[in-house]
Amino acid sequence: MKGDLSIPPLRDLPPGRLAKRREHLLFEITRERESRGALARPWPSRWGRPGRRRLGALAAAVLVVVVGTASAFSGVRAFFLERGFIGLPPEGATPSAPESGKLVLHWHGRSATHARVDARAGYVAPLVHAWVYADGRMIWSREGRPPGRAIHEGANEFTSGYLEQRLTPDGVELLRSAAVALFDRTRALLETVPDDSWPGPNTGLALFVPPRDFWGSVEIPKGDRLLGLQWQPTTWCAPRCMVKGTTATPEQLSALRRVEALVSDPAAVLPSSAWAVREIRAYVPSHYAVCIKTSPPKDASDLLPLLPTRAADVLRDRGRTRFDSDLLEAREAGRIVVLGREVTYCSKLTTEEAREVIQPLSGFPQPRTRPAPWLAPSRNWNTLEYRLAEAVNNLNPTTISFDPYLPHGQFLLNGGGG
Amino acid sequence: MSADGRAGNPPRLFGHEQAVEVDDSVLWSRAHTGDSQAFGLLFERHARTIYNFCFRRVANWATAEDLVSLVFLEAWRRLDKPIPRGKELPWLFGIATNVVRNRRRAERRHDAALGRVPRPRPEPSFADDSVQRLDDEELMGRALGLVARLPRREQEVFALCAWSELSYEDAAIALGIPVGTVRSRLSRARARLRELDPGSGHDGERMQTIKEAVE
Repeated sequence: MKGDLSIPPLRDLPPGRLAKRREHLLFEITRERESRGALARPWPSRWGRPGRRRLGALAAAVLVVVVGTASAFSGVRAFFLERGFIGLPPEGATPSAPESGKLVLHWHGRSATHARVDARAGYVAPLVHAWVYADGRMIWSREGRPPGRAIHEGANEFTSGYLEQRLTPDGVELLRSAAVALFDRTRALLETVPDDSWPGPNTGLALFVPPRDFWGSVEIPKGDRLLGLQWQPTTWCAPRCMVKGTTATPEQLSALRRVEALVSDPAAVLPSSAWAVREIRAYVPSHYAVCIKTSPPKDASDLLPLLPTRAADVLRDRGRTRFDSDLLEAREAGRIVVLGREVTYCSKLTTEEAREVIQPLSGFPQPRTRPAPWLAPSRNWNTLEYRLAEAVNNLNPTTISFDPYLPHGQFLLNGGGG
Repeated sequence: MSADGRAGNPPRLFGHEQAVEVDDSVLWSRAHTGDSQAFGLLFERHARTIYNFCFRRVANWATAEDLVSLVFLEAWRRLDKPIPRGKELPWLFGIATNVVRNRRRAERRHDAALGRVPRPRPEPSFADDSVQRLDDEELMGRALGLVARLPRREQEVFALCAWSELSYEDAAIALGIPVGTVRSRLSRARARLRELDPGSGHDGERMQTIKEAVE
């Protein structure tokens, strides 16, 4: 029991954070002072007339309350939501607006731009997601923090969480046209596929690229569908290719690298005219996907009793979508073994409804994983997840997770990381 | 060649503030008159202390970092309150206690989104001490679980006096209560913890245990 009673040693703020926090503090102070200064100005002489003095005092008092409240709120919001978060936002955080948006581009892959050599892990590249919308929103998440280019807005040391910036129409077009150029250069490849069966990011056709271009996929809308293209290193084709594809030409590689650089490091690449709001803020969704995952498959009605009554009540009569998948395990020589089947039930809840589900779950354990042999097992880093039941037959435990809905009405199960 | 005669080493110029340690009271007064840089110096001087205090109240480093910002912003809003000279740090502890308390109230109302942020996947390349910080949070969570069994007022006194090593007088300033009340609350807290503590030993060179704190 002695471990239960120990407390850890004192620590410094993470490197660079002290200066950043000081900078934000002084910014907030200046802003508040300006608000107060505006109130302290003498009222125009016409307010001095006796008949209006009382009304003026009342109006000033109301103004003080309104401005003071707004100022306090904006202060809290600025501090809490200057960084991404995992799970639900603090109560009172303003959701991203508008609630829905038309997707222009989705990029997902390991970023060669941010790749670097690590003493223990070798050549590593963070996983990046980026969604660009017609209304100018660019929502993105990035795994980890490249040295010297710290994402101070990150949710934790290992992921930025979902962040938001705003592009001008020119900025949106710049990104869209770069992606279209990539597709144009692969048209011959894509045209081999019938128009009604365009591949998605995880199936179908691929460009085979040098290993240090890593892997990824890009999607752009084509009518009411998404047109997807993926790329993967040639080394993945040993002993055999799992997808149909072709080796990337120099032109295709160049187009691919341009898109990658644009979406994974836009602040460094895009001109100032591309930005409506360059400041990075947390993306605050309006809805969450609340998903229960179990293996072997069970009916949803058999899973609800695993939840506390209050949480089950919120989910009981909600519409839910069922996803079935194989549980795969990689073995030697590229052999893939199917361990069993897994089922996931997802319901779309408002943020407040999701809070009602989470509240009684506070005592439930959070699953731990060991992503690399030299690391201690850790709770999931990119999603809020609780374990409802232990694994059976060497399959996965039963879990419930909370992932944000994006403006185009989709979500990434378990944060889509890893 | 630089002015101090050593190639490659530019001369270091020391301003008055950097050469002579200005005490907190002076900085506080200057901040009160609108000198935000003075307040920035106070922040740099005490952020680490408040950061660790907040961590020991919430067991989450990221949340503690957010709370530090809130503590200092709140302190700036209250600069016009009279503080005994030299007692600026206890005053900050008092604000921190209130900020943590308010956060706990809000948490009870809805969820622990910030307090239970899932732990990051430990990829060592991005932060060398992250694994230790994860361990810190688990360890602190367990210790807080035990201390949480005390009444809230006793928890606060215990956190200030035992974990942050404030004197009774400073804790009294922080909490706005008489020194005698600090003594009695701490005494009760220690007595209760002795009952709850199953008899821990010293856990490693750098660890402090509740047993140490209650004795």
